[in-house]
Amino acid sequence: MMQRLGHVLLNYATRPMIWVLGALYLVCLCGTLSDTIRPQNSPLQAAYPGMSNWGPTLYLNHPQAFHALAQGGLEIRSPSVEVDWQAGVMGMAMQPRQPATTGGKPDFSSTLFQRLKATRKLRALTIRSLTETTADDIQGLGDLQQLEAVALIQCDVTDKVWQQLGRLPRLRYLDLSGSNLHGDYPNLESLAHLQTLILGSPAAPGFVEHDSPFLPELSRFPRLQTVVLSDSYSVETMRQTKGADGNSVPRTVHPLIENVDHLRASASLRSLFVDDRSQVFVGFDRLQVQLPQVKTRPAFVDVDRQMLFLMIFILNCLLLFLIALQIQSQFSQATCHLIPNYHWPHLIPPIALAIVGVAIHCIPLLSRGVPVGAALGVNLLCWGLLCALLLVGLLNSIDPKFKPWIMIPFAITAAGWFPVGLFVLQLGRSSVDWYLRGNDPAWAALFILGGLATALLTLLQSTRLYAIYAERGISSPPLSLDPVQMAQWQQQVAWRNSGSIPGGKWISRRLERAISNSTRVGWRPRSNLWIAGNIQNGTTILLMMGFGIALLSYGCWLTPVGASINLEALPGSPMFLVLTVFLPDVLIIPMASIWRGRRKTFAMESLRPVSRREFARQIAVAIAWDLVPLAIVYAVVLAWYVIHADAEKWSPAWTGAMILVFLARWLLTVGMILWTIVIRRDWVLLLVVVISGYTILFANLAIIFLQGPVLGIRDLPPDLPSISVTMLTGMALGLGLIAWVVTQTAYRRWEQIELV
Amino acid sequence: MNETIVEATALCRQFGKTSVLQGLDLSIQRGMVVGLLGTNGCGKSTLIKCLLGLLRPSGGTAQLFGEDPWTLSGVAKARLGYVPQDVKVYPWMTVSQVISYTAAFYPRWDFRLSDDLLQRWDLPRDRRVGPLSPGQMQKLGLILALGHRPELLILDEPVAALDPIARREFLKSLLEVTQDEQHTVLFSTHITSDLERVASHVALLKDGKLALFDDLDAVKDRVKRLRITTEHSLPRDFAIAGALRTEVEGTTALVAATNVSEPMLSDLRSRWHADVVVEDLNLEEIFLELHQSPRR
Repeated sequence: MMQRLGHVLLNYATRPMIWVLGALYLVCLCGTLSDTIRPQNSPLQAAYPGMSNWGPTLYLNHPQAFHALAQGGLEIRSPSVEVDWQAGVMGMAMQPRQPATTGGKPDFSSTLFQRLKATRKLRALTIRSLTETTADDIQGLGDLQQLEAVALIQCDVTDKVWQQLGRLPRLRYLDLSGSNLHGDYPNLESLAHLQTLILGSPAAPGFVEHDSPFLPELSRFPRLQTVVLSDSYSVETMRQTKGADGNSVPRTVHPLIENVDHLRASASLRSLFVDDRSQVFVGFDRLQVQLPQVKTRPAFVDVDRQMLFLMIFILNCLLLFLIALQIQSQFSQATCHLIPNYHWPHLIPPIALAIVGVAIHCIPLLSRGVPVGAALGVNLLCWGLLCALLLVGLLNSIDPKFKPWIMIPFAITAAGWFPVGLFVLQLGRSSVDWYLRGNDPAWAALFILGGLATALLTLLQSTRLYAIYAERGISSPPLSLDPVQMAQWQQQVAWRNSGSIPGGKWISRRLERAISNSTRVGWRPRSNLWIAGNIQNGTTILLMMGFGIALLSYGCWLTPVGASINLEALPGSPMFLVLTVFLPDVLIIPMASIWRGRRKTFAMESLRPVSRREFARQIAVAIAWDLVPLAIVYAVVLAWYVIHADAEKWSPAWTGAMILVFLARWLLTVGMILWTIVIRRDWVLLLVVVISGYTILFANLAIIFLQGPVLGIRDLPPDLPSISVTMLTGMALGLGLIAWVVTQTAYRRWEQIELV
Repeated sequence: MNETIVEATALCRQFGKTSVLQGLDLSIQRGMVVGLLGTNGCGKSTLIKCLLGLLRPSGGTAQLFGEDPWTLSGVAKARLGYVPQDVKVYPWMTVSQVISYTAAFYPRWDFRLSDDLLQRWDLPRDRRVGPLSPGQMQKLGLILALGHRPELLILDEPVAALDPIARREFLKSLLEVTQDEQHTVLFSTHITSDLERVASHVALLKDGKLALFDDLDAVKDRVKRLRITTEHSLPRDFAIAGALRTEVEGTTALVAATNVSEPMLSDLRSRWHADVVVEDLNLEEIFLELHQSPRR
């Protein structure tokens, strides 16, 4: 057995592709582990449900804005508005003829609330620093009947404010972080639809109560489902006691020790988010016992720990791809079934690799205090998901001409890691953190068992890979066939696959027509094969793009702000800009893989009496058709840039220059794919595709960071160098030149390539 | 000689709606060298794959050394050698690495034989497998299949990639290796001259069934061409028993038929007042007669 094992390992060691993939994997692994070694001081972030994302927010947080508001120069159209009351006071003071109110402060609230009332789309309002207010100042708040979410951050919430809040019939979300609550809390019963109440946030610490505790009032909200309490929420902290030395010291008693009865009295309460950082926190276990009907979760979590998921997913993808590649080549040939004692020596190394790999992938999580079971669960969840994809490919019919069996994990790694990671985080930081604390052993067990079972099934299925391939006609054509015989062979492949792919019958019919026409002289230049192939590729690409766009849309529009990445700021953030261009460009990797895999059909297509150059031209045209979705995405991105650009900095020349840049990038992608499919060795192709894909990615990053400030798109670092229209045009011409060189090189290679 | 090595009973195999094998029966005894003859796409490779357990039959049964090929035991595998149509070995390994890798799995690998074949077929030991020519790959595939001295050797179109000289050399070597022992060989081909040179038996595959399976000489004895000439025109539905193909043109008919006997010839002569000439056919002619349309 050892001797056989040694020979199998020799098979691994001598394979260049394993070295390339192994090196890639090791680089990623070392990067992740080195990050683990460094001291971890990542700040905690809010994980409770935040205000719904209604769309773009108008920030009135500068005196100039209020000045413009008063002058009628600012139109409010946003569904969400944030007001800094102090800035408003200062802005009104800038008005020359503004009458002073009692108390010597200019009155701007009536103007503001009048304008807000006229904004029909308004759904959310945030007010900061509302202090020393009078009833008249806030009187207009109750007139904003359309409001569904209100945040009063670091404000004085008096009886009069409560009265105004009580007039809002649709209010579902109320954030009182950092605010002082006064009075007798009238009108709470009027908030019949209030579901979420925030009493504390790290962004606005220092919540205090002056008059009476608020928690006993929770039972007055008829539909309250979610309450968030921060550590700073404590009546006790404000009460001074005499220490041994006679000095006053604050008592640090967590509110929930004393006030859990008030929470229990709220019959509708379902979720409680608490800050567990306090040294006197009673513990989730005790809370769960005291409040069995309420789901208690941490309000603040270590988000960096969750961001590790992305790297863990990539590492598992790479490892699985490496193993799958080796298993594919070892079990796809017929002889593996006919050689005695073949299976175990070939299965032991991948199983050992997987076990060791998963164990190492657990280290980053373990170093951040995640229990072994939960860390294993995260890894095996990745394996389960990826292996399930492989199983789908193995058990269901797939198009054998491009063997996606082996390409799926790589495609996911290349194009899907970001949306998938985003998706995992969207599920809820608090729930994910709860799992990472080891509080969901059932989920961990499910992930582990599910991952193991799926991996085992995939492995078992893989040992019969030769039969699966034989069933689907995946084999090389018989040697020494003349053109007519080759056409017959291709026809056989086509009808074997008939009905095996989505819309396959239609595609197969077109393939068969292409085959039967393949030897006819003077047949039309663009064959049915390409049309059929393009539809096939287009489906794959559209599915992948749809996947990414759906996730992004989900993130942008459906997820509350506080529950995950602050997606409200995404449209103006560099990350969003990167995503818009990065996601489609990485398609070069799966696209190159697909075209590379279907090279076998080129042999038949080459039977047609056309020159090699003409043949290459047709392939280039077909690839260009495949990349139409990419062109559409570029057009949308361009439109987005134009809409969001600062009108003072934008000119038609910019539009022209950017059209050129996008066109050059699109042409470069076409040229790159045309060139990559002529590369003979798989491992060289992989290297080229990875390097070129990520070069384009980083080039895009650079372009975006250069363009952003110039175009006046907010939230970008202002000190970045700016570029001119001329420079952008030069960049486009440079990219175009590179695209032309790449394409010409590909054409020359096509004239020499051996097709069969 | 009477031990059954390979057996297929009512073997069927379908791909989608198309039937490739339709109730095929075959029994190969120890010591036979069987040439499986058929046109491209007639199901030769499918039959071999079903016999080896590389494809699961849609119906019927197959047996190899008395075992189900789909779950073949290690002992049975050690008695079997297979050279596929396209030999797939790891292109990144050298010739000697591939041989020692394969040898590691067999308890009784004959390194002397594999070294001898490497030398005789002039295969460079230290060259990577990837750049080898198709002919060299085919030879390497045969060395890998023969190195453990299998009792049953199955070859799927083994010489299709070779030029005539290499083909002759290859078949000669195959004969040398297999003739001195109680080897059983099944090989598929569409080149009849190769089959005549090597095979003891011929199996002719047509329409998913065995049209003929017999000793090579017996097949040649059984199938004859009759040149029938009469004084009057022959009817268009002219037919005789055992005819494989009939071609009628005026007063002349050409009939390829099996089981031609003297009484049958006498009957023809007397009934049609015909002059009947019996012609011998070589294997290629028999193959053509079988695969051309039955009536013209």
